[in-house]
Amino acid sequence: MTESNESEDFGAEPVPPRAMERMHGWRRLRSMRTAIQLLIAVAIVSLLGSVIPQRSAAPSKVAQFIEEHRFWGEVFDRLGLFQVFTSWWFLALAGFLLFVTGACLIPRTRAALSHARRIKQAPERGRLPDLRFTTEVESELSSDETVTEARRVLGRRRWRSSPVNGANQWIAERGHSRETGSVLFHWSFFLVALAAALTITTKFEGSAVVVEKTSWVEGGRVNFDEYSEGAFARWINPHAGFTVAVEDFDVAYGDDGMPKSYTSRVKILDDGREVLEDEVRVNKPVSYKGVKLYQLGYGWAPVVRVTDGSTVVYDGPLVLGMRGPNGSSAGVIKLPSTASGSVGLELSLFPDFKLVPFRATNPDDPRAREPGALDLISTGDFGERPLVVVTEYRGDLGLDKPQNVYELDKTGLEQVAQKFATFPANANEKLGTSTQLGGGLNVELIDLRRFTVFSVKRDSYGTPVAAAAAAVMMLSLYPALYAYRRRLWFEVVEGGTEGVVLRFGGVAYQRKDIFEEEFLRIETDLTDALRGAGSVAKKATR
Amino acid sequence: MNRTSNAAFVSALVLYFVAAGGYFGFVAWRTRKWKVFATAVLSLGWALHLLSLITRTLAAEHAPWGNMYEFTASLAFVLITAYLFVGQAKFGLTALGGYVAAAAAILMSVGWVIYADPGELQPALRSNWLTFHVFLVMAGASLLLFGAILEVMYLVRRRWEARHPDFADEDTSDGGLVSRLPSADRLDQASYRMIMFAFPIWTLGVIAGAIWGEQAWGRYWGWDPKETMSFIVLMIFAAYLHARATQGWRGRGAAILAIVGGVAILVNFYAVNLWIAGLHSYAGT
Repeated sequence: MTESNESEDFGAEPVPPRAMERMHGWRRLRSMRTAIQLLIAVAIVSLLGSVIPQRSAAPSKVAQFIEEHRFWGEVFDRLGLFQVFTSWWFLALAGFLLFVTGACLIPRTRAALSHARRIKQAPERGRLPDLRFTTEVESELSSDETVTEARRVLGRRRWRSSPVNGANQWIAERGHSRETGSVLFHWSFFLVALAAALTITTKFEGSAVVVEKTSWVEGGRVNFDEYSEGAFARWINPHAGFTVAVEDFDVAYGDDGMPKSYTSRVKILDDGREVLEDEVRVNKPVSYKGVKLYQLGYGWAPVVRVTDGSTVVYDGPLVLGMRGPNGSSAGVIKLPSTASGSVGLELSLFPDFKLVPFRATNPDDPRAREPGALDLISTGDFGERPLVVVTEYRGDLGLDKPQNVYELDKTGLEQVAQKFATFPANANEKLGTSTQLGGGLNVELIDLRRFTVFSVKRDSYGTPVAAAAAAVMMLSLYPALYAYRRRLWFEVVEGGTEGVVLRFGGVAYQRKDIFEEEFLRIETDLTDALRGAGSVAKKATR
Repeated sequence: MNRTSNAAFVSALVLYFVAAGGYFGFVAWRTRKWKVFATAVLSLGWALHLLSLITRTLAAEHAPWGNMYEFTASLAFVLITAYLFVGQAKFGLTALGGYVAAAAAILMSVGWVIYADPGELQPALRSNWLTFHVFLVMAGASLLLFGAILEVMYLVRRRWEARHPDFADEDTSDGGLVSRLPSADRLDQASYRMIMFAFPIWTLGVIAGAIWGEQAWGRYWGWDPKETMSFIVLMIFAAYLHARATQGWRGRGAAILAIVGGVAILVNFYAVNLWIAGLHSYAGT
């Protein structure tokens, strides 16, 4: 990153390779080769994070990996290889890269700021003929006029020129935006780092499961299904405490039966007043008070009433959060203290049920030998022919252990009955809307609804800083790559048929191949201007 | 509409193979006839390819990069466009025409194997960012790949030049294909310009992806496998750009970095789509 001793740009006196080897300490740290080595190191380390499954992206794959490679799984875990990008060694590497960048940038920024104010002067009298590009143009004008005209021609091409101290020579320069761009581009990494730090420490995010025609309050982690927050989130990005009422949820299907789009129609209420009515879709989040709601997923939530004799023990929508076989989804109701003991109910919904001949996947399945055995499947997810299978379990629900709300822990349970029911609009003679279970329990299906899953986030500072970093990066990258610094020296000498000759030479510190063409164009322009051809043409067009 | 698109696609594919033969004929016999023939066939193929993409867009009602077939077709199109209008017209790298046309034709054959009818976009892809982000990464990737291919040729040619110190630029009558390549200096210059042009496009594409990610998933960066691989590509080409200006890295070292970067791009587009699941997994269809 310090270009002074090794880049092609200052190639007049290249540093011999052996001198490079002798370079130590601070200078070595700031050298371009250190930068290259660090960039390659970051690339290699990141490769680990894309080849080895990562906890953040695929936790189940990580678990499977540890299961399959017991010893190496353990070793990988200890080394943090399942969370490469938050491991101390990745952060240390990134931090070191930033440190080295900063070490290069501070002197470069200082130099860029002072160069911006004036052209660093160096008399080139003796060297002018030695420059790679030199030429002479005869002038019809006087010495002074020649200089004025040359400066005007160069000025039009955005060259800044000034006299060289103590010599009858002029120096002109262009292309400082390369260094300015490069310095800004590299500084933008610090903005990126700041954005990442802000996001990690101040963001909260979670997922919320909301059934149609019900509402959800954005406040506190207990309301979330999954939740995580940064260390300073509670002060910097606190919960906003508004209510999200889901009016309804719609899925539009394509010709192939796959969902084309899904939409939650929501109302947002703040302090009991309705403040916003909008739709949340994939790629179209809704934002209120800095909190953003993203459409994440959806599923079925039948409204169920369970009565134990004459007492209602469950009444409301039941979120079917588990995927069952053959296109069904399932959820559970845990009733630890009915009149007839502890009961677990599993409800499986087949949204568009159909009976098909049973096809055994396992030859040991007893049903494979049963002639005419049937299997229950769902042909779609439309909810046009819904059927609920209620399975009754009795025994120990295991409520003394941590529980998954969507699943029964069946170790202490025994299946005692399996019944079918459907919904009022779809009820027929064979399948009623309610079904009687053992011990006076009755399950009644009231309505079929959907639930929607929102991802809820608040990151009021990290995202804007990241956006600013991206803007700086893109605006500075182009000059950093394409602009190139070049200099011209010129002097007026006596000679030629007209008595006055403009001698000039130039050098480019980068992109020498392009400069060759530019130099020729400048020569043509100067020739036109000084020999009068140009001025004649200009007068004609004026 | 879609049948027109497919017919044009296959015709373009065949014409690219023919053009590749023509360019190799030019390399072998060095007559103007071969060059005119190959350029004409390649241009016709390019026009049909463009027609195929336009009709595909009309049939699918979205930009032609909604699945891997469409993406591959567009990738090959950018490659040929870059060769025709920059490589050949601007840099005069006619000796490379055969390799580029053949590479595009092979890429398209792979695309044809994974062909899928135009269909509805998945909900996740229904966004204006699809056009912007995917176009940028596709254009950036194919141009970076082009640069990497030029660097391969640079290495080959460089070795040859070291063994033939008395060579003359593109004027050796014996010595096989390598002697007919442009000089190492020109290959080096051309690949540098190509990569310098493509690097900001790729960077902007990754940034556009971050903006889209913020809008679709609520985070601008999440180290999803595809994001990680794009980041790696950025790092490698950043190292390349620094290497170009560093003693001891210029030339061979820089070329190897660019080639590794090219491999990373291919891994990102194909291996990550097919074998590594992630949020970008819909790209595998």
